[in-house]
Amino acid sequence: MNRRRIGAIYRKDMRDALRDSRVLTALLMPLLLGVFYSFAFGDDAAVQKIKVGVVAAEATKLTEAIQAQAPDSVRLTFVDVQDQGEVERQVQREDLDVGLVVPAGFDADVRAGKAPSVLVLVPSAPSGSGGDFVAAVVDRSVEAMAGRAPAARVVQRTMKPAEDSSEVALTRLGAQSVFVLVSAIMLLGMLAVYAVPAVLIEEAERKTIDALTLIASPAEVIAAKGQFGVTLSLVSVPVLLVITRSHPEDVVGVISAVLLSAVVLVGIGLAFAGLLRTQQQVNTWSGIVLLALLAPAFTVGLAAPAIVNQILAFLPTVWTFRLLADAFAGEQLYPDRWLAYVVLVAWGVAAYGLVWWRLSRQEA
Amino acid sequence: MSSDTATAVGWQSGSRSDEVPGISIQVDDLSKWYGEVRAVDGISFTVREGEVFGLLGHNGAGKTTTIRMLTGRARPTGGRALVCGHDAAQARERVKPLINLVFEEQNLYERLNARENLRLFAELYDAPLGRVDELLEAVRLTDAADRKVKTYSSGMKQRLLVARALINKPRVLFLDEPTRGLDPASAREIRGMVREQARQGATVFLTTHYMEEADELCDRVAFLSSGRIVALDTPRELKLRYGERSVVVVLDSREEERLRLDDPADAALLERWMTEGRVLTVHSQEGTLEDVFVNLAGRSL
Repeated sequence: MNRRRIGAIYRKDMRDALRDSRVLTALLMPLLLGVFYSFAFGDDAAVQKIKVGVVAAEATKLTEAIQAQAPDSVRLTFVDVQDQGEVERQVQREDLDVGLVVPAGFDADVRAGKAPSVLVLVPSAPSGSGGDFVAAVVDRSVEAMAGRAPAARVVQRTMKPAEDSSEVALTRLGAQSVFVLVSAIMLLGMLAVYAVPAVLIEEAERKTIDALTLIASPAEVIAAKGQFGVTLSLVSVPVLLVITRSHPEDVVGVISAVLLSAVVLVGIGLAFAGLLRTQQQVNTWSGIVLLALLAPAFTVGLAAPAIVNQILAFLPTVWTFRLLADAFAGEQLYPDRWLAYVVLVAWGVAAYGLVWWRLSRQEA
Repeated sequence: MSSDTATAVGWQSGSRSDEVPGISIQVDDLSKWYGEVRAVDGISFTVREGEVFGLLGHNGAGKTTTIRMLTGRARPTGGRALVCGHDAAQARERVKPLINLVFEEQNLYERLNARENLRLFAELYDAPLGRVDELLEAVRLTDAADRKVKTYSSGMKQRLLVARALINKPRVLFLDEPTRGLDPASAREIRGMVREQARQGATVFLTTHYMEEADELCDRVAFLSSGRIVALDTPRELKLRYGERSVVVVLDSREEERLRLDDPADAALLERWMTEGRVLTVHSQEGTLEDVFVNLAGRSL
């Protein structure tokens, strides 16, 4: 492969793309969606919403006492839960930020000067989460109820999160950040499975590729298109983050997740383009592929059945989402980060392997 | 074309180790089958350096397939084609810098302007960027060089296609139906450019539907029918050999009569009219390439 020729075709593609309404649409649509989400969920960051599940055999003043400790920036919602098993499950699934198990006679014992136990269930959450806040103020709340210290023995138990929980990011990062991530994945997907195939198929339909391959090899043309797709991804995702005023905790993590995902998704786009012949086919089929790639975005905030999560786990964008969410939070929200790299690299190897196989057949 | 382009042909001479002196293209028993369909069926010919060679035939005769094989874009099923001494299929990388092609389709980047189109190919062929302005001037597109190609007329696009094909100063220039769909003035301009290339020493390999064009431009033509060459010679020789020789006689009654010279009855008639003093003028009529093709292929182009 000749780098000079790849560079020449790549520069042409970039210049041409900026005048191509289809590519501009693929860029602008997710960007505008990101801006929309940013405004729609813009107040999320200002107020921390904490959902507290309470298991209590009888009425208790503890919830009021905790509420009194909360500053204006914290909005607490208390939900009655039937039993300890149920509250454990809900905390595990991240349906609740924290669970409180208040034993029978708790209020009376506190008033009598005894030191009853109260169980606080928190998920294995990163610092600063709602669970941590509630756990921290329970002591002070009980002291306020009793008017002395120590008024109760607070037992805290950390719950292991369920692995397939799709709402982890939503709970930790807030809707604004999550939908910015969804827009970023949409951007990566649109560029990879729509813009790149559209540009390649246009070359084939207008036979400009015949003029290129009079001197360049098909592999050089494909390499240039790959560079083109990855460049657009690497430029447009940071633009999305800037215009939505997103501040990821781990910038290097975001860049590396976007780079890896862009390379993999563009490979998928190139392999996909090899199956198509006309622009009309691109318009039809890329929409379907895009829907599949965006599936993880549609399940955010939903308690998807386990089977759905298992199927989605095969999609590269699920792992892109997890890597980006981790980088946004600045800590590991999802377990098995190594699996994300394995899945993405496997997709990349499969996609570029298919492209290579088709090219070698064409060259022969 | 500007005279300063009339220098050496080809930026890169390439290896000439297998080249027969004076021969640009050598085709031996070349064939291409698509399943059971024989698109090209064992054709052989040579094209001399600096020659304008025409390949004529109706749609589906195998012209474009032949060009695809000669330019290394299709592998032959059998036989071989040497271009500038290199096997077009086995040594494509050596052939590529030495040739160029004016495609049948106007396959330009229409959102780019003419300068950007030529610059891309100058970079691909590693030609000096100064060549871009030189060619824009040569094809009279300097004033429109910064306009997007999609605003060009068909004639302008075709001139740009020719300029693009000359970017690497090819030793062999292939033209696939270069004047198809053009108005007479634009077609004449393109033909002038082809002649200029031949004058500068490039070998020109041309396919066309237009018999007059082939007659005017080509040193030799080959007629292709159903994948086979049915005749190959100079246009004049073909017309003399296969064309109908005739005269148009204008009589004193102002009537025009066409007589075939090969027909004894027509010859006797002409002799009688001459004897009777009824003949005002006699115009000899040479056969056309169209006639030749109809005689050989059994149908018109």
